[in-house]
Formats: sequence, structure tokens, C-alpha cells
Amino acid sequence: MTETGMIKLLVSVEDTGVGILPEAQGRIFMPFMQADSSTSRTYGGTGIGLSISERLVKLMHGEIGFVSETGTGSTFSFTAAFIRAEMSSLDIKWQQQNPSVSGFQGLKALVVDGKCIRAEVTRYHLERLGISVDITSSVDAACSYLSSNFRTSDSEHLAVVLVDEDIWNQETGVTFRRLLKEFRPNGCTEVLEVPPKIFLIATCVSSTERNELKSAALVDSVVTKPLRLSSLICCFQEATGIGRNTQVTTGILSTCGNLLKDKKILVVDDNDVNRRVAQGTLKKFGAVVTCVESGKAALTMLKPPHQFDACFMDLQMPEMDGFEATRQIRSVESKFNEKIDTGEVSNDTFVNMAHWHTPILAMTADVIQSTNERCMKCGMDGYVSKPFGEEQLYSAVARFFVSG
Amino acid sequence: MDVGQLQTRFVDYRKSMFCEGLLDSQFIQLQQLQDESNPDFVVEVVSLFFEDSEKLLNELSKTLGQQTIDFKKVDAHVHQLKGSSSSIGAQRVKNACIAFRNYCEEENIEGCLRCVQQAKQEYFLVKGKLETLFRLEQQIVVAGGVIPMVE
Repeated sequence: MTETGMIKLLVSVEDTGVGILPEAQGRIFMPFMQADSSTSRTYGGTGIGLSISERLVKLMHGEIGFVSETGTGSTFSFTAAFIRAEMSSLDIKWQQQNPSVSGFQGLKALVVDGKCIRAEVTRYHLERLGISVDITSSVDAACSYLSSNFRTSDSEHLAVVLVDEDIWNQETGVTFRRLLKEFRPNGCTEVLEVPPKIFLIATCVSSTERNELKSAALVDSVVTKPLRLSSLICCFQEATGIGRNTQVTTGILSTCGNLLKDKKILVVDDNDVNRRVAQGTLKKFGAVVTCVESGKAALTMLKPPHQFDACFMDLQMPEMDGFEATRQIRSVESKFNEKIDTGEVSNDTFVNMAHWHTPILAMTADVIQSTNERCMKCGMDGYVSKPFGEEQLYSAVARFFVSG
Repeated sequence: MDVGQLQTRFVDYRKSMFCEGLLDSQFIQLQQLQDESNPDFVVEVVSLFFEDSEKLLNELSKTLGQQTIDFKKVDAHVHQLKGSSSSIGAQRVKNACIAFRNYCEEENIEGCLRCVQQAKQEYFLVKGKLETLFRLEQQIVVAGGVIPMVE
């Protein structure tokens, strides 16, 4: 800890990528510079990631640097100063929202991945769910694991084999399938009624490929990398039937859960299809939604005092766009707040509303840096891209609404 | 046909629409929003989309047929069409709009005329198929079956 009670953290990210050539190392932090001209062709990107990171780190009173060796990989590190957080940590809250997670206790998974660090990360994710993990780094090792009468304790049983796409091919798929069908834990004489499932861990699989894999019955599911807790939970629930919510796909309720329940949300969009879809999505999480078609109408609805907890505002609308509408709403709010301060308006009438600032989130189809700056400048609190799904929604509104 | 066969036919038809790129994952999101409290959500939203799009496509043809073309107006209409097609997952219509907007920016009349044709084509294609999909769905309901969810 530093003298001011701040905690300085050192964060390192180590990769096993192609590394950065010594000649390029001097310029990679410059905006729009990539290591060489082929980088965007091979990996995509525009070359501003590192310069943005550098600025952020500086703003956080830290430093950023790296070591790299071509053919081996790079390790980027940065320092930053933080204040100590309170004990009501995110993990505890998260556990409370997901009682089904403890249902995975006692399950075992086998991870088949040639890259040991990556396999360890996968292990970490699974262990968070209460699942115990064994790792094998090759197809052969996995085969001997599966074909030997593997001793698991009575309380554990192999539920899933997760195979990384780098190792996987049709042949391996067929082999694993066969071995799993014959899998006998604890040297017992009968095969399992429900053989362990096979999950493929892959970066991007189109829905066509996904369907092909599943219809060929080679894999039971595809988990996308980078791993996300919510998608892992979904896959495991599907595979094991544990904690399966039959009403609605669990993915939707597991994070947004109670965040938006009974909250009054105003949706502003001049396009009726977009309005209807935004309304449907928010309603799914229990929000009470009102829709209006224009910036002008939004101004009327959000004039204090009003009942809304938040507003989702389209940016591009004719006559009055989202930026202008928000500017005007903030101006009306600040005038009203002044009146409360001077006692001109009594705040007894509205419980806890001594200061009006309705959270306004932009809904935008074009998410670029400058749009975000414009949004912030005119008083918006954040944005979601159109059309938005559950995860986007959650990260956008979590700040404003306490869960539970 | 029995319910099972109707369901298979429906699932295959829907799968083909995804495979051909007519629909993307946003359409799946729409289906997930449908439940007992919102039983006709998908049909409702898609019908709105049909109404909207036909209006927009007509406006587009009209605006592009003028002596002096107001490209800002054209762009505004295409932006609307892109937004609504994106909201329901009509991928190919959305992509046609993306190309269209580029030509608008360049004020390229030839390009715009080609694009409006393309957008119309894609729209009518996905419209026809969605209408068939809904019909197949109805047949399952009438036969007393349950609509299979997307995997």
C-alpha cells in the first residue's frame, strides 16, 4: 500500500503469440501503428488499442510496458493505483443470483488442450463453478485417461470433456465419442447410462458449422472462446440438465435477473420496429416500458417530476436528435434542481429526489469513439448498440440499479 | 402429416433460412422474447417490419426518380431500413443497406439505383420466406403441437 492508502497493482498479461520484432517495438504504442503492414491483414484491428491503453494507464497514475520475443510471445504489464473496495464484493452478489451454480459440485470435467496455460485458465473457470478438473495435453493422453478404468472417487463423475479446437478434428471426434460410450468409472462393470458430453472450445463457429457438428453427433455443444461464465453455465446446464429452467433460456435470467424488475423505462426511437424490439427486450427482464417516437416527446415525459428510472434514447431522429434531446433534458433538470436548492420547490413531494438526473443511455447502430464522446458531452450516461442483447444491457444498466 | 413431420419440416425450413444468411442471430433473440405474456411477439414485430419496409422502399424509388436527387433524404430512408432489418435479424436486407449508404455518401446515382433494386430483391425474398415460416408454424399449432425452439 502507498502512503495515501491506495493500493498499487501490477497486472501482467502473458501470451504465446507471434511476438513483436525488435525493430517494431519502439513504435507500437503510437496511434494507428501496428508492428508491420501485414498485421491488419492477418489479425485485423486499426492499431489504436495500445495507444488507448497507454492513455488509460497514465490517467490511472500508472505505467505500461512489455517484453517480447518473436516466436515465443509477449508479456505486457501495467501498474495502476486503486482504493480498497468494500466487502460486499461482486462474487458474493453473483452467487446469490445463481443458486444453480452449486448444483455443479461433484462434477468432473476433462480438458484436452495442448497449451498448458490456456488449459489452466479453463480449469480456473470451471473450478469457480464447483467442477473439478483434470487436464491432458494431447489426444493420446486423453485417450489413455478415458480408456483406463479411471478411478474417480464415489462422489465425482465425469460429466464433460472439453476439447480445444486446435487439437480437434473429425477423427479425434469420432475416437472420443467411441471411448466415452465405453467409459466405465471406478472400474465398474457397466457403462454409464448417460455418457459424458463432448464440448468443443472454439473462437468462432458459424451457426452452419455448429449445426453440422451437432448433427454429425461429434460434439454436444460448442463453447466460444474467450470463455464466459454465463455461456459455460448454459452449456453445462444443457449437458447435465442441472438447474435447467424450463420457462425461459437460463442465459437470459442469470445475469439481468432482478436488475430491471419493475423499473420504469422510457424508450425513445422514431422507428417503430426498433421501438417494439427494445420494448420487448426490456419487458423480458420485468421492466415497465413506455415508448415515445421523438426527442420532443421525450422532453415532455422526462420533465421533473416524473416516474421514470431510466431512458433509452435513439441518437438519430428527425427534428430533434438524441443529443439535442438529452441536452435539453439536462438543462431542465438542472433548473429544477436549483429550485429545490433554493427551496422554491419542496422536495417533500418526491422521496429521495433532491437531485434529478435520469440515467439516459444512447441506443446507437454506429458505435465509434466520437459518438461516445458526443454522448458524454451532452449529458448521457452510457450507450448500448442496436439491437442490444442481454449481456450488453446488463453492463449498461448495472451501474444504476442495485441487484436484488 | 403428423405433428412430428410438421415440426421437422418447420425446423429444416428455419435452418435453411439461417444457412442462406437470410436471418441472423438477432432473429433468435426475437424468438426468445416470445412467451405467454407476449405470445405473438415475433409475428407482431415482423409485420411491423413488412409495413415499414414497403413504405420505405416506395419512398426510395420515388426519391431516386426525381430530377434532382436529395441524397440526404435517400440516406435517411436507407438508415431506417438498415435499423429495422437489423432489429429483426434480416441480415441480407441489412447488408444491402450498408452498401447502399456508401453510394449515398458518394452521391453515386448508378450505385444507388442498383442498390435499391438489390434491397427490394432481398426484402421480397425474406418476406416470402418468413410468411412461409409462419404458415408452417401455424400448421403445427393447429395440429396441437409445440413449436420447436432454436438450439
